[in-house]
Amino acid sequence: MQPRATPPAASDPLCAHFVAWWASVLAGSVDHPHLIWGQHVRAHFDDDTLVLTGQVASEHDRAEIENEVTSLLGNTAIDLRNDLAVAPERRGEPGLLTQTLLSVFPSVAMARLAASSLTRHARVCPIVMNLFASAEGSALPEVRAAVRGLLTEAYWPVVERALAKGQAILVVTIDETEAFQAREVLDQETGSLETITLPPEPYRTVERVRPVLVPDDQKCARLPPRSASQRTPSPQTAPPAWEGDPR
Amino acid sequence: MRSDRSSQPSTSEPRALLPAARPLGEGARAAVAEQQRLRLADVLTVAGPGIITGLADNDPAGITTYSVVGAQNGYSQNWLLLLSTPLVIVVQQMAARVGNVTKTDVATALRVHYGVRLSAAAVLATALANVLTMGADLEMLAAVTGLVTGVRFTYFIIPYAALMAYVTIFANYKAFARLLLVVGLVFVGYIAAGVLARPDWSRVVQATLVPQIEPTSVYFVGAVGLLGTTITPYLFFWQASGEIEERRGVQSLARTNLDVAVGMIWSNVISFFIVVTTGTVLFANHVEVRTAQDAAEALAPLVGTYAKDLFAIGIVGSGLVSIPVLAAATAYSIAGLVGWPRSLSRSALSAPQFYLVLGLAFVVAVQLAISDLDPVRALFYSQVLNGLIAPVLVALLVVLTSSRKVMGDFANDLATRAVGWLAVVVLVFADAAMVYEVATNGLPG
Repeated sequence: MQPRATPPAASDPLCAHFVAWWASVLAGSVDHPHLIWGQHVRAHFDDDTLVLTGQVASEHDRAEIENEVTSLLGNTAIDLRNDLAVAPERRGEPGLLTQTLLSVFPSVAMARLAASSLTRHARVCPIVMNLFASAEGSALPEVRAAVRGLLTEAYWPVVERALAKGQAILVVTIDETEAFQAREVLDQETGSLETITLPPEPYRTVERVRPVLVPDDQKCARLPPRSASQRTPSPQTAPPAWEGDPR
Repeated sequence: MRSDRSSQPSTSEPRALLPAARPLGEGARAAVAEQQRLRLADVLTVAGPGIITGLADNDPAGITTYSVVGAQNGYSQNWLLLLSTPLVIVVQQMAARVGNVTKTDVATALRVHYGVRLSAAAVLATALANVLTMGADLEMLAAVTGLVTGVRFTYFIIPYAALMAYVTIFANYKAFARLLLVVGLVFVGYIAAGVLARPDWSRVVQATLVPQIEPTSVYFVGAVGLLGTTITPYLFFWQASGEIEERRGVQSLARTNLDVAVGMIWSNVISFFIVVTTGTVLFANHVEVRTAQDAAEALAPLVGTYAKDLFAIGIVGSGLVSIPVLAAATAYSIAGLVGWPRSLSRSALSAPQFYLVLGLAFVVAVQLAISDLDPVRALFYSQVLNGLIAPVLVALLVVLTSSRKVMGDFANDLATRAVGWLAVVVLVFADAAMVYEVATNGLPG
């Protein structure tokens, strides 16, 4: 795969984190886990060669990390050796069940960062993702209606409470075989106040939820719906771009 | 990004694949029915968290408890082992299903769905029992090593703790799990011991199938200890976390259930033979088990002067399996309660608080082990404590896994709920009887 001609877009909320992490690696600090791939990706120097080791779940992940580093190394004299192994972590057959995760964040910015982290993580391919927020502590009726159309009644109080406190909620529906990874990212790596995993449900077509309505100054991030041909996502392909994705 | 305030769904837009407002998860179990069919290869290769849980269930505390029970009561509590087998299988399967369905551990699931206070009480009580058990196990490990080598046992406590802490912290989960499975092979020795003891098998079978209850404090304290070491709270936390480490979702439910059942049956078979051995050798000769030496004597008629060595190998092997599991279960539960990153697959830098708790558990266990506790009494009463906590934890687990809000289509069916509540009733009855007998007749011995 060809290296990128330009560094990641400046509007990418994760860009600063990637740059800082790789900068620390290039400065010799090689023990901190990667923001996305955690301890699965490690880097060390072998003379003038930066060696990447560890394990990723797909060729796409492997190439993306290599692109990331190559663009940051630029015209330096440091060589790169990519020894990352590809070992898919998914267990089970995709396309049978979906699972919805509900994450509460202190702010829209953090929720947006978490959403970006999830979609940039090639091992997780959200089917649908919605970000809800309220203005000045009160949930708009439209937001409430959209939430009630998306989630079952048992979880409406969680959302109502969070919106009343001015918090942001990320609701993500994914293939059940990716739910472990998604939950781990949302619950343990992106600063969510609470992450709830709803029970698995069969893959089936339902009426589209009315688009989320939020105040103008708070954007909504939503993936395009998947067609029938996309119903069995392959871990080898890149996640589809979403409305808020700066890629 | 565009604002969506003015957009309306178009009739030509494809339908989204979304869950709608309807009974939670309806049809999910049927959607993965095909995946639940077990093949011969699945049966032959079953070796997952359930097997390790079964091995960890027979820790030095458990072995000592079964030895004490056999020495004090003969075969009269064998029926409790038989009764507890289906109970512990169902309870552990419930714990595993929490991980399979919610993709999180028991402590987190309790916190998310029932609040911090309830989950904190459950987690902290279990953590206390875990650390006490770790200390008692570590002391017993050192005691049997001292028995064999002739060196004062306290010199072995820190080296054992350091070795186990190092392996638990620095080995990744898969290597750690494989190591535990290999070390667990030592338990086969107890089956051999039970057969070589030449018990009266007709009496053994009768005592196993026909319940007998003796209204004495010795009997009920032994019963609570036996039940507490069989249906052990820390194993609920370990089981669910093990499913997460293995990334086993609902499509693996059948394999998980088989893995758990095999592990628990194997665990209780070992326990059964320990009770039979000590019941035959010690009870018949009115020999009490007060020290590691006494417990080793149960093997003397079988292997003569090698009794101490064989017993030591069994205890050390069981300790090397169970102490790391106890420490990890404590760390999982506390990290899950607070929401810290937690996994044995993570490095120490990516889950510092998890590993800090794990290390602290070892430190406290060492402190307890080098104190002047009688190791046999410490081991036995740590299991009595587990027996007192267990009914509350089991009840919480039954409520959690019966909830369609939490588990959807994978909530307990009627039979599973009934067995779960039966486990609670048995534990509560044993606890109440023990408290009554101790209150009226005092502690045994």
